[in-house]
Amino acid sequence: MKRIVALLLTVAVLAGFAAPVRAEEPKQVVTKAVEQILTFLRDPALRSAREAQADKIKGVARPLFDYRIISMRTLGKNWKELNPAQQEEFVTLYSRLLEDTYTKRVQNYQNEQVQVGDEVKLDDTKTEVRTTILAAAGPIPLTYRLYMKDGGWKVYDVLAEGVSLTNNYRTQFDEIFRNGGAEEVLRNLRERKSS
Amino acid sequence: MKRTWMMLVLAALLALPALAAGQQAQDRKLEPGAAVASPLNPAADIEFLEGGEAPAPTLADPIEPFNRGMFWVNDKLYFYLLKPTAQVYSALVIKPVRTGVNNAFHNVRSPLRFINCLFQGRFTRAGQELGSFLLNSTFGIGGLFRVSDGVEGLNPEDDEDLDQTLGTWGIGQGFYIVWPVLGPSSPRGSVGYAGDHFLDPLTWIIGGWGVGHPLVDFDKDKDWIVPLAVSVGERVNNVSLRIGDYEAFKRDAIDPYLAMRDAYVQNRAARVEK
Repeated sequence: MKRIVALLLTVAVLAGFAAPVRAEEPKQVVTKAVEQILTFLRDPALRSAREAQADKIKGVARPLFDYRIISMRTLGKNWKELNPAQQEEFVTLYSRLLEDTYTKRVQNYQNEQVQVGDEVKLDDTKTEVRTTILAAAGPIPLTYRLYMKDGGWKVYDVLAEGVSLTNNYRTQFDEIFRNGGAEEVLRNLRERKSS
Repeated sequence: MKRTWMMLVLAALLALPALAAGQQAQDRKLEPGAAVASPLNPAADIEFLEGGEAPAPTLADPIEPFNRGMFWVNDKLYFYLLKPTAQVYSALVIKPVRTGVNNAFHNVRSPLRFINCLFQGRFTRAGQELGSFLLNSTFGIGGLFRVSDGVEGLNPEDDEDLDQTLGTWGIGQGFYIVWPVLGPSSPRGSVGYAGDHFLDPLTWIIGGWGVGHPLVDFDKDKDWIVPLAVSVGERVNNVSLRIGDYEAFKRDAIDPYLAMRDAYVQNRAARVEK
């Protein structure tokens, strides 16, 4: 009997070591972030301190978004045309643009309800989580696309009413790239920063 | 002794799935830059990195100079006419009322969405639409409140229109057109818009209003006045709830014209696809 117990214990210990730390489900990841951000938006103290509120929101969003992948996907085939220094600058400037865009939009919050809906698997490592913002002028579907990276889930695209942010910016950058190349794309982003 | 062996086999069997899971987790940790095919490692998947796995739909824009002109006209119309009007209006009417009016317009068009669902063969969605309509018309007091939003299974769904129906039938959009006042469209979208107008219950409800009325005494040839006033009212009411959206869109865009065109194309494609 003792032997059996010992064996079972060994099995348990072995299993414990071997089992990988279970990653959080994508839906949980999104739900948690949405809830945290909603807390900041509803907090009366933060409502009167926009800067502090923006920083808190960015603090939640930053680890969730994979800005490098988003940058690469946005430039698409043009990414290779940039030298490493230009690539770094693009990632920095573009992530700042996206972060500001996202934060400002979120800060427009007017007590709308946010529903986290279904998760739809795209393939083994990609998935999307659908949310809906019940705005006064009608519901706005907002979908987060995530991919598995180092055992965790990272956002690589956001779709508002079916419009992919990445694709939307790619259309715009493509045009600028065609007319003025990488330097023109960067100049455009630099000017936005100062404005 | 036999028992010990049996226990060991059992133990091995029990530990197997866990070990396998551990192995799988290790498989995922691939060397950076290792070129491995898609499903296991997105970070090394060229197609994914170039955004090619979900290519954006496109729409030809052969009349771009005209469209850019109309975009400019609509932009000015918004800032100099629509927005100021909506601002005055929202100062006069409290938000719950404006939301209610917006909801009521949405509700009265429910039959239009229902018919389009049927045309598209989306019977589940048609059922949801009917359910929402009944619920919002009764408990939502004639559609003033969107009671259905909080009901599981009647989840908020977006619009269904004839343009989507035509798209579902495999008819292409044609090319991009920006109409003054109405905004982004296409030949298919324009046909859909006109068709929807005839399918719209509101068209039939208010069609004859004012004609032969003892007080206003409209002639038959002025029967467009009320419908026009109603659609202007609807638009102003709707815009009053979304002031700031267009401004934010413009601020975030690199080229607002291209951003708008792409958003229109993507949005239409996503709706047809569903």
